[in-house]
Amino acid sequence: MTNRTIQGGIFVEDFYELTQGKTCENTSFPPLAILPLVQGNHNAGRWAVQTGDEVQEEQVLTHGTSDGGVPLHAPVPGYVEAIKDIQLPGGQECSAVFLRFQGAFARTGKKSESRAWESLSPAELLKRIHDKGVLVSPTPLDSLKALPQVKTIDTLVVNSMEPEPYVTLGLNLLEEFAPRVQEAVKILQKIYGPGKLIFTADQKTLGPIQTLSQNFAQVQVKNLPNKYPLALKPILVRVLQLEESRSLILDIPSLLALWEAVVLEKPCIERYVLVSGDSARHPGIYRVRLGMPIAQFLEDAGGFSSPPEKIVLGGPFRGYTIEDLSSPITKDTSAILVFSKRVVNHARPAPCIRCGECIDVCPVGIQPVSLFKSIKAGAWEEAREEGLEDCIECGLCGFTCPSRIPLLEAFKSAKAAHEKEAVHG
Amino acid sequence: MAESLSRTLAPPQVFSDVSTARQNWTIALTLVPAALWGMSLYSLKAGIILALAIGSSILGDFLLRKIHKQGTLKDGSAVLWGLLLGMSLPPGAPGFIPVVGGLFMILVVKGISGNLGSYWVHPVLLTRTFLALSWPGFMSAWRLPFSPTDAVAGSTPLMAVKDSLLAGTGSSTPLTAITSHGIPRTDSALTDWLNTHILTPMNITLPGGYSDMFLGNFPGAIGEGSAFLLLAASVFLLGRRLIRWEIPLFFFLSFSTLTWVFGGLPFGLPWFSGDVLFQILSGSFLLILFFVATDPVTTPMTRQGRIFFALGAGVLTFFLRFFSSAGDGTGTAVLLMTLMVPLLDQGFRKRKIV
Repeated sequence: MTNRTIQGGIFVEDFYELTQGKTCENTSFPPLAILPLVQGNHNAGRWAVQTGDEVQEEQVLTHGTSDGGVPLHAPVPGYVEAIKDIQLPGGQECSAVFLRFQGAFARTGKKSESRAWESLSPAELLKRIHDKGVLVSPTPLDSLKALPQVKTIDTLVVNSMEPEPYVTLGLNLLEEFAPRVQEAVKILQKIYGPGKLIFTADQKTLGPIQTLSQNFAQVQVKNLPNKYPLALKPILVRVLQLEESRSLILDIPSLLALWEAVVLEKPCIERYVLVSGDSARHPGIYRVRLGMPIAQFLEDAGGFSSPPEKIVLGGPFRGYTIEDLSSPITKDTSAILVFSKRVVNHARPAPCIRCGECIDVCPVGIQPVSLFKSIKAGAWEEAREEGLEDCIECGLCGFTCPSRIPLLEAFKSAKAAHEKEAVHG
Repeated sequence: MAESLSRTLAPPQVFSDVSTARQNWTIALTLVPAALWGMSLYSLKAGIILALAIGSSILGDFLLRKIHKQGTLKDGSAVLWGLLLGMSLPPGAPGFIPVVGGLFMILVVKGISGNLGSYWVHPVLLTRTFLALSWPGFMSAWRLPFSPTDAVAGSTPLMAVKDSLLAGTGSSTPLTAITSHGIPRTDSALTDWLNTHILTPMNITLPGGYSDMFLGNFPGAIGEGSAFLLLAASVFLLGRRLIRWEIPLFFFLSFSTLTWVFGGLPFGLPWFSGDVLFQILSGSFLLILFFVATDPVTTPMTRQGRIFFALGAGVLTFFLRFFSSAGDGTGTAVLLMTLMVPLLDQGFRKRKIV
């Protein structure tokens, strides 16, 4: 095994001590569930309901799209109070159903039974997973996609690594639900055929992953250092020397959602959300219905132990600050972190002092300082040569910048502007 | 806009605990013990020079902000540079020297470029060069340390060595050159104590003179005489990653290697007998090595670039110290290497990974 690591990056603390040993807790039901049509960059198609409609728990709310857009289901029974545009924490606007909770549950409260799946064909399994609205991602903090079609995949990677500090969701779930993870991998092997199976592990997940891997015949366990951004897909692909188009990298929460869809025939109406950070009173893993307003969720999760300076959706390096706490939990909400001033380390923005810190940490060998200068000068060709398109948006340059220059923000908006230009001519 | 904190919605949400302002203030703070030691070596007059240098630097920064409408005293640069400038002045300099220096440093050197981060020569180095060229007499007004009468000293140890070499008097080592030049040595008691109690059991004998050098008991600039305090400060700064290790390490390596190999030749000694300890403890070598040459603004951005920069500065310091007419060459060497920074940034670009 080649022990390739990455240049740049930083060794990070995982902050697992905050959530270690905590088992998953349920939270209450949202009195008014807000369900955006776009769930984590994934378009759920057209609405199948209208204002005033009564819906059952787990009822389909959208027609998926022909290009693999999976449907959205009702997280609670009730009626559609309104359908209107809302703004998502990332800033984008989209249509959303406001579902008023009332009536009786169809499933909740009843004993769930496991269904046999071994006799289903790969196509049937895949259809069930799509119909149940399951979306998957390579790490809990990356954008969601529907499972790819059969026959294109020959390498399956189970990524248990912590994507960013604090976000130990994979590890927590692995310790609680290892048998389900194991069954989910078997389901995937049935769908995609017996190809290469790789488990990635960091220092903390190595134990549970090694136990898990003993149930598989031909499997590789890759133990990688706790270095950010090693767990992110573009770096992982390079480090594991994968062929990107033929590999499927999945995180632990994706596997559990898939397991529920196949084994319980349960649509994706709930998800696991990690609450952590130094200002969280009860850090841990919570099971939440989609559409739950973040304010109510945080209250259920124990609230704050100290005045929070920032409430962050996602990880500390790539997440967004939530300003509007009425924003809902969506299929891609994996972590909500609450930080005090001490952790955030605000500082006054200052001019670049050419320290080169951003160059040292960049995992793809860009010189962020030079790239920033070309973008500021409007020199597109130069920006491309500096590697604008190679940037994987890990956010380390901005994290280390002593002058607090918003490097990642500049690169993201430059990329967006670039793409727009390319589309319009 | 400059006043708003980094309260962005966009990532990253947390930042490393290093910030430009914190960096400057911490470095300035670590220099304070060495500055205080300088004051105890050269009486209150040294304190006045330091205060004038810092004060005029702050005044210059205030005026510059009136003109440019940007920058802030809170970034700590004016205080750090004022302190460094004061520490590099001779204790006998008249009061207008630090004032002119501080104002020149901020209004001219920093002023031309606009803000913190865009000056292309180190303000302290350029100011020192400007002062030394304009008022060579005042800039060599050395004093004997611990002298109640504020006795005038003819030259620094480095200048004494240079004079003896130029005169061809053929002293056998740098330290004998100093003594023959009339710089008193007072460390025999300390050296003897060290030899009897610590070093002899380890089979080492320390010749007289070095502990004087180490403690600053020789004529020199206010901040040059505290090798032990500067080294202690550097350990702290390197440990906290507030200064980069590449520059001090490779600067020291190239300079000391050349000194060791060739440094004995001018004194009629064989190869590999140069006095490295004397060279690094004398003049402004340590002060510049850790506090000036490490300034990120005037050094290359990539690690390879910085290593080349440091190696070059060491080589130039060696040549200037041994062959030029000036006593110390450390500042000039760094200044010359600074001219190469744009080339080094081009030449040692980081390679993209595709």
